[in-house]
Amino acid sequence: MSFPLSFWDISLWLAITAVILLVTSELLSPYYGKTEIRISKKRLRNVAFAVSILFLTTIVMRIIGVIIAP
Amino acid sequence: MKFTFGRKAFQSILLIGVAAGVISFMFLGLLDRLVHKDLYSYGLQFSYEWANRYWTYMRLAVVCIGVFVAANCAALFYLYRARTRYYPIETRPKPKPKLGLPKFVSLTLFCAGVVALTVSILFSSSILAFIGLGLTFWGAVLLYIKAEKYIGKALLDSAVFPSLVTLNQVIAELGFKGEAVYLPPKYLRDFESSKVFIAKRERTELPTPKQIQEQEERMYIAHPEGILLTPPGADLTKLFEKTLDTSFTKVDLQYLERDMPRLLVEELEIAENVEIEAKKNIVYAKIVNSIYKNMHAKAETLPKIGISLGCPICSALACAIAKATGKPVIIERYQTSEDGQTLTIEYRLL
Repeated sequence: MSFPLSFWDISLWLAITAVILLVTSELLSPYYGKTEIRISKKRLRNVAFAVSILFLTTIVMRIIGVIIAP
Repeated sequence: MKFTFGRKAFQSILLIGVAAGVISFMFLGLLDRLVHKDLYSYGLQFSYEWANRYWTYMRLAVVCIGVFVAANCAALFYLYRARTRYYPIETRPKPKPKLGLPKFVSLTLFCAGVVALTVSILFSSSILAFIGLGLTFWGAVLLYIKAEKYIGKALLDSAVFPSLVTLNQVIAELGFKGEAVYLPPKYLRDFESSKVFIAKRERTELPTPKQIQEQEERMYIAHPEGILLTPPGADLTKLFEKTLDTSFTKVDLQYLERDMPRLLVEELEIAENVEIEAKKNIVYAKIVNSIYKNMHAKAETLPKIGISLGCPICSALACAIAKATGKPVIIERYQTSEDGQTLTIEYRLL
């Protein structure tokens, strides 16, 4: 009984989610006049950044793994 | 470039510190387990010579991390207390919030995701794990980004405009002909409040701070003759300060030029674009597609409000400029574009 997804599965999932969130966040930006959509866009942007940073962290871990691998 | 650090950012860093400390405890535990279990199977021989030093270092590390976590928690607590001292939490019991449709959908997604994740672990199914991860994540995101309470634009105009009309009538009928001067904090006993002074006659010299402070509680002041009003944008200025988590009395004009556009567009979503530029003793502001745009056009029809006092957003900017510069401010020019989308305001510092 173990979690069925590997680290790289999670990384891929984070990448796709980050792209969706970043694109949505950009399209809903008040700079394009979208001031009537009833969600907290600041929070959406924060989530998008957080997921993107998580994904980039997995990439950094992969790079470090490649560098220090014997 | 001046780098400022907000209270929330500081709290976030402290929280990250606490989380890192707690995770360090976990890793120390794993390290201890590695030494006491795994390394013996690779031929490690126990000796008090190395074990004593190992235990000492390990205990010191635990104590240091403990002190670090405790110090971070204490700093977080004091920051929270400093916040609640200025913005006290309401003691009145709040009514139980209703479970609306968006919240219900979000919670359903979240719960379904947790169930799918649990089942995926039980049956080792990667497809169910992906589904569970997605549902849990999006359920949590939808809960987090749920809308704050919004009101319609029409309601905003209808609620605010009559009070502007009344103010205009009062000023006009009492025959106050001077320009509306937004007073800086040095003129007021309460530095955080905002007041506007309108003289009875044109070209009247502005009273001294002492004269205003002596008569601050009154609406009509005698020496020199004039009227002391709370401007239409006074509370909006307080909202700006609360959102920026600062007081405009502590900032300068460069701060307003840099941070006000972001506040009005990104944080409060009051306008599509805002530009503020200061040149000597004139401050130019350009507001594009503001939620008050209907009000701007209507306010222009009110002679005393339109040019002198300004609509709520122009008034709020005037209050902010007066507080930041410490100088009295008047609205020199107030103009809306032909399509009504762009409002240009010119403030003059006295």
